[in-house]
Amino acid sequence: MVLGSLAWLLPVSLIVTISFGIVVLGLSVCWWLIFKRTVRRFNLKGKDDAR
Amino acid sequence: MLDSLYVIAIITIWLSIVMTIVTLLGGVTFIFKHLKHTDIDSLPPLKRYPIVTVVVPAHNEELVIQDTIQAILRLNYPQDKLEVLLYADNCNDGTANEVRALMQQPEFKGRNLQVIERTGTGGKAGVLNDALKIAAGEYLGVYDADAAPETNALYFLVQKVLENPTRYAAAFGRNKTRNYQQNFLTRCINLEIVNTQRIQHTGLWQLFKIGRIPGTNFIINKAIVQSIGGWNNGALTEDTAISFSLMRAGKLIALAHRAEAFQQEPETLFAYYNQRKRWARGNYEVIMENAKHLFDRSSWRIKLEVFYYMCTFFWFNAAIVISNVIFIININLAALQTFFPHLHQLVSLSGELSTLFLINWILMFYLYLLQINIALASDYGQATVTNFIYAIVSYFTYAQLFIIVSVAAMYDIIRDKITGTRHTKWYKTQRF
Repeated sequence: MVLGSLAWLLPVSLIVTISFGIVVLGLSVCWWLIFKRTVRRFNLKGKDDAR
Repeated sequence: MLDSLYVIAIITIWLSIVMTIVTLLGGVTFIFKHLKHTDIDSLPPLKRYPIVTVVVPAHNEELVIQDTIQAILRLNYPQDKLEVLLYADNCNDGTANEVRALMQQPEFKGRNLQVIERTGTGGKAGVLNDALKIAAGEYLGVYDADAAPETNALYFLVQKVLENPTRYAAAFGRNKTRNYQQNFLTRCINLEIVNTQRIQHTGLWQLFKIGRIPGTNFIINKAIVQSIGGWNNGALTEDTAISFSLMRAGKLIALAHRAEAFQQEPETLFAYYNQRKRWARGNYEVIMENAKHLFDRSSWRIKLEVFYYMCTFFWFNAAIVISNVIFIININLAALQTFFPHLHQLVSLSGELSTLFLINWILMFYLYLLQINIALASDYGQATVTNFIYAIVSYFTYAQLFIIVSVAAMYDIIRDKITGTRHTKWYKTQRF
């Protein structure tokens, strides 16, 4: 496929994709933090407190 | 022409990623904010205890009704403030008798519970409208016949609505799958439900104060429902319809995230297909009915909801169907090229573009897994290796069922429009 007038698509796509990647990376850290805290709490306090 | 399609495709992918990320950010914020809360054994008394009429619509539910009614009668709520109406709606089994037998037990004698054998029309919405006429409560609580509430569910629902009784017309809780270990299907449904309730519901509430009434485990202000004309009789998804009506009336539907109920999910593909096709069709009808609010002076919350539903049910769905069709045609053409070398693929991307599309797909897949795993991590006993594996497999199997269901629902709507008849009936979800 020849991009022609849509040559701008590639660099813009790259920037957008990289931005998404950074946000998703941040969200992955959030998952780890939540996992660490909830697993500890669920293990320590039992089911009732977990709600 | 083809170039424009590429631009539309990439924008569609980005929009779906943005919507997922925004919801996820809201959900994560909510989870962090609510990681610490009051001990369940020392809940403070409520400011006041309004009378609540719990309505249980039941159509041939003899297998599950006793468990549900027992759980309702054991709710942590003053007995003199709780009225229960069990509607045995057009039943030809022993639903009503099962409840009457339960009422004879010493534990439940003298409780304010009425068994009403109903033969009217309108389905669940019809039952709720009937209850609206006779309920003594200030609030109506609704529990499906298979949804047994956790002891403090009603306490948390009332607590939430009393935070701002004039603005919060309703409060809804969470539903958990009680038969999720049954088979592959129920495990996948469980993942979907955990994800919907722990990310989507929390995210939308955290960011936009948008809530949607589920079919069960919610309370709603009786006077407000009466003022908007009650439920839409015969609606396939009466919950979505009333959610829009409340939003149009300028009210909010608050999330009471600690109010939990345990419900049974379909265990066979047949039961699942019929339930979800009814939901999809009902949602299509509500969206089309409310589409006009995108362009009128309705509140931004309605516009956002309509936009969200339209993207999910129309735009993204169409995009997935088209991309799957192209994918299948391309695979067949590639196979045929062995015998007919002059054949070309329908769509082929250049090196850079194909890499970009692939990266975006990987991002979307990763987001899917991340979203489910954040949801699982915040729910007791759900963050397991087994569920992680199911999450991966479900992307390629269970998640694809939505395409079939929504296409079938759309086909039904178009067929009924052309023929001028209505074939889709309320298919009762089979109990086990």
